[in-house]
Amino acid sequence: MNQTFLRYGIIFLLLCILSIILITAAAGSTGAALPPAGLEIFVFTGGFLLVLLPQRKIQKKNTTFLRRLTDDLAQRDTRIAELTAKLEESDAANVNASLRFPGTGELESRLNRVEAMVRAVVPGEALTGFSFDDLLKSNEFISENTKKGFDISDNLSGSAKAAFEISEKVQNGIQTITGALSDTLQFSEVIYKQSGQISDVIEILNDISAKINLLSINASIVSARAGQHGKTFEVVAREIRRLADQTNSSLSSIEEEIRGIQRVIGELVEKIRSAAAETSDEKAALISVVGTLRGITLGVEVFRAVSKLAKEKASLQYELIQSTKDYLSGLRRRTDTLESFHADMEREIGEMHDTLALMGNPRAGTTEEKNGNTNPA
Amino acid sequence: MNRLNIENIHEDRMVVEVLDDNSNITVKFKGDIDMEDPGLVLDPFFTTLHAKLLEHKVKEVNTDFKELNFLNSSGIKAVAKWIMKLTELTEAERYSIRIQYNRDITWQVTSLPTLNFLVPGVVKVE
Repeated sequence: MNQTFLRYGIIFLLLCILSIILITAAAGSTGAALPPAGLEIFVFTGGFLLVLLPQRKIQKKNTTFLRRLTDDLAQRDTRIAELTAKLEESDAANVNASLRFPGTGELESRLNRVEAMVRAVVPGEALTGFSFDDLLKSNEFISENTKKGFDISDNLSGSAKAAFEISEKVQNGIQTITGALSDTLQFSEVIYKQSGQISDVIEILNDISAKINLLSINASIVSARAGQHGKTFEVVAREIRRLADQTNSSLSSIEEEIRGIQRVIGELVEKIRSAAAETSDEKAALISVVGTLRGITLGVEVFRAVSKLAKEKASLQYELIQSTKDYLSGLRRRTDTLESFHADMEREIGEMHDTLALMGNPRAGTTEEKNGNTNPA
Repeated sequence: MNRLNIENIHEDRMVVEVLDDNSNITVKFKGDIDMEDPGLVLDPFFTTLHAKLLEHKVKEVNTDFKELNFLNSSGIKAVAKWIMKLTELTEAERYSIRIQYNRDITWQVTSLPTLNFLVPGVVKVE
């Protein structure tokens, strides 16, 4: 349409220019006055009509087209209105059906899962890969063994005390034996000396006795031969008798010494006998001490076995506690992350409720309205 | 042969017999346990004994040390290890151990009662 309009317009302008040129040329060659205004009107009107007629046809054509277009637009508008109405209904339904409930439900479901996860990471509840019962059981085992260790050590203490008492008794017995042996040695030396003195005395006495006998015999013989003159020998005879008396006295001393020796020997025998008895008793005690010490050694070995087991369990418990510590550190980090996520989810759900309220869903409201914090009016 | 089907031990001067009179199981130790490492013999013996006692659900076993003249440290350690196996069992699974000793042998008087403390109430030293 625009090309046709342009073409007629150009023709119209060319005709106008041609008319002006012709009129000007005619007026110049003839020297006459300009043509009357009717001619110009004719030319311009003819040119105008010449241009306008095709334009009118185009205008009609355009008008038809516009009318069709208008009708079509009207139909489309009606249809759009109908679709808009349907769309509004559909939107509301969709909001209710697909946005409001499933969306919030999903978020609430996620929120519940998050809350469950947060609760699950609280120590002592539903911990995976670790059991506090194992820790407690191990701890209890160690406590029991520690108590056994104390009981055994008490028993060993009693045995050690008994061993000490026995060894003390042995020590006293050994001292007694040593004293007795010392006394025995002294008495033995005394006996040895006394026995030597007795031998000397006996030898002397034997000589004296022999001399006395010889003198008494000689004196008697001489005294008898001499008669009156032999009376002087009577003096000798008396001396002999005096020596005899001394001899008797010495013999009495000897007898006394012998009795003393016999007494000492008796005491010595008694002490030796006592020492022998003491030694015999302490020998049994010594054997008992050895056995007691042997038993203590075995008891200590039992204690050692228990201690070793307790030590192994304690080491295991340490590793368990260490693992628990690491695990709880990890849980703490996870808890922090989940709590942050939990807060985000709560905020997100609140925002969803607010969005639904703004969309005009009568079944939705802002978070504050739902919580009853604001007046709906 | 006893009902546990465990063979007796005759090693050096050590004798360990498992006696069964149909009512009681008795493990009798005799001689001298003075070898360098009696655990090599006693540990497998006690392991088998423990398993068999549990298998046959025996509730009490006697151990007689009255004729044992000498026991070294490794020997009593093996005995202690056997007794401590009871701690790994539940009360229902446990069997009791009666230990008989000779009061005229001083080391037995001093040492064997300590075994009573390993599993109180289950080990009885007489």
